[in-house]
Amino acid sequence: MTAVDLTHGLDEQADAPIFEARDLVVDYHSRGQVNRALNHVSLSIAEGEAVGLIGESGSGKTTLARTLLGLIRPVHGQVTFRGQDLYAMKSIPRYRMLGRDASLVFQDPRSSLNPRLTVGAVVRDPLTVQRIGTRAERTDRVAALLESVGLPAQLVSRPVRALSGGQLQRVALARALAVEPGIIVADEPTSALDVSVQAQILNLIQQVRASRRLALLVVSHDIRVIRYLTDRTAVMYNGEIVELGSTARIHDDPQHEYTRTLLASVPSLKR
Amino acid sequence: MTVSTRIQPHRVDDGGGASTSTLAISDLTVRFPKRYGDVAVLDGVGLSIGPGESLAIVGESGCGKSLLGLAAANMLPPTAEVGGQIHFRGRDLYRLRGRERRAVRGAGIGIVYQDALTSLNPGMSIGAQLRQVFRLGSPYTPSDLLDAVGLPDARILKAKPYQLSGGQRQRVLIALALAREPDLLIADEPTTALDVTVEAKIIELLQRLQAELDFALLFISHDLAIVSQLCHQVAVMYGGQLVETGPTAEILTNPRHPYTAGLLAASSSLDEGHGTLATIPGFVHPPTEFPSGCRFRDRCSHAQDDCAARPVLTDGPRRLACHHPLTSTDGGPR
Repeated sequence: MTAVDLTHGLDEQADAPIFEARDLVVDYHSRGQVNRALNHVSLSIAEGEAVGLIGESGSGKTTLARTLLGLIRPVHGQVTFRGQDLYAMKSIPRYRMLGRDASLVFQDPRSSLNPRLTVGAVVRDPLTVQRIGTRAERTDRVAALLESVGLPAQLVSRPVRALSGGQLQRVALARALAVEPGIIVADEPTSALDVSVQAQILNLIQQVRASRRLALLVVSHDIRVIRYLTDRTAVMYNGEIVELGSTARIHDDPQHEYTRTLLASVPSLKR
Repeated sequence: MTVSTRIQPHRVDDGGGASTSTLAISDLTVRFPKRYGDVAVLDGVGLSIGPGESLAIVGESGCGKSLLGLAAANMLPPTAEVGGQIHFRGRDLYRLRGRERRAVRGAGIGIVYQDALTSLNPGMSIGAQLRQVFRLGSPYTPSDLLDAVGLPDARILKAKPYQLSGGQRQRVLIALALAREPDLLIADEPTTALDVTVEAKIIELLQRLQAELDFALLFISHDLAIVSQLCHQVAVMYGGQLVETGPTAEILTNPRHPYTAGLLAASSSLDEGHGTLATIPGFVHPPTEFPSGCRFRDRCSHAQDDCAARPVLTDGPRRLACHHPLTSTDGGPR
């Protein structure tokens, strides 16, 4: 067993995993039937590393992401976050710890952000919940966050519903960055966006990562998104990781049959 | 058994319109006076599709693509103020009333929407939903049609929508849309909610069905990559106006409008996947904030003062509305 130091973000800890999942098994029960959503899956994410999870609907990629985030208790196996066994903790301290250090970005900002709140309130919310800073400091922080995701300052008082999809995904990213997390988990962050706006958001994620030490777990069915954002990729199929390796290697030289199918299905411009 | 061996494809040309187009739209203008005042959210749109042809409407969200699809099916909400003409099989769709209008819409035009789960009745089995449509008259039987869309399993008929996968639901929607042998199929982002592997299969299915049944296809999408695999013709829209139209191959190899070039660059730089991805700066404004003149000008790297006057859409097989189009050597806006 690897001993993991609990100190946060020190440079000498370069390879210490943020997340480590060992031999996870998750079952879903429906109508007396048991569906195995994760079948003995192991994955680790190092400090500052960007990992992609690719696979089609039902392959278990979202289940794995949710299990890592302490939202689904596995029937077997263990998840450690910075060395702490998540499911050995009580739920409240578990959520408090993860909420402060791991953020989520969802596919569709229109359904994941409250349309009646202002942009400022959405971004400020995690700071308030985690009791970070004073009132004035939070206001400054919100302004800085909006700027860092390329949104004009006057949007702060606009209601969420008045923004376009691309702008909203920027707001979601600003909110995710608010607590200065060690990792962002992005579940299909650009699938609901137009191709042109998708490129803007992908650029932004890269830019945000370049300016701070941030690990990333990207869940997507689109190899182009995974290839652009991540260093390492896990290919999931039927609740198992069927291929795991560097993103470049998986893209250029896929070994598993399913990975090949996945790569061949990507639409490309036929001129 | 394929659909075409059972049924002779018919070519209806009742009314003897000016052309052989299945759908001919000319100078279509749509306003929503209560919501957007005097702004035309569709502004002078003209296009036509013949039997067996496929036309893609391309543009970002908020450019009026879906609205155009609704207008073509005569399904705009009553608050819409419509100008111009839409001829379907030679008859003016907006002059039809009551029973006649329903007959044309129901049997002549099939529609497939993006989100199959909300388009199907969640409480009804697939079989019952198919029978509802078939009762109105169809040359097929439900199981033949499910066969034709690649769902041979008899259990599908008994299943409820939530028990099917996204791809299966989309196939059911296509079956429903084709049940009454329409001359026009309108597909509004039919694969956007699907996985890439499933998406590829649905595109293949549409291609095969169109070759067999010879319907005209109006395909609405924001993804030029998909369009390039399916459609003969492309019409690029921005802010409710057509900015460029032409044969797909020409538009893709030699885009003239900076907006088309921007969409293409975004798509192909994602294919290549390194460095900073090409984007179109800014975003589509809501209709009340459309700039005057060329509606794209505030996002356009080629814009100059004269873009404040609206560019005229040229005529011919390759149409363009731009004061400062790219020359073929430019390659793109960046």
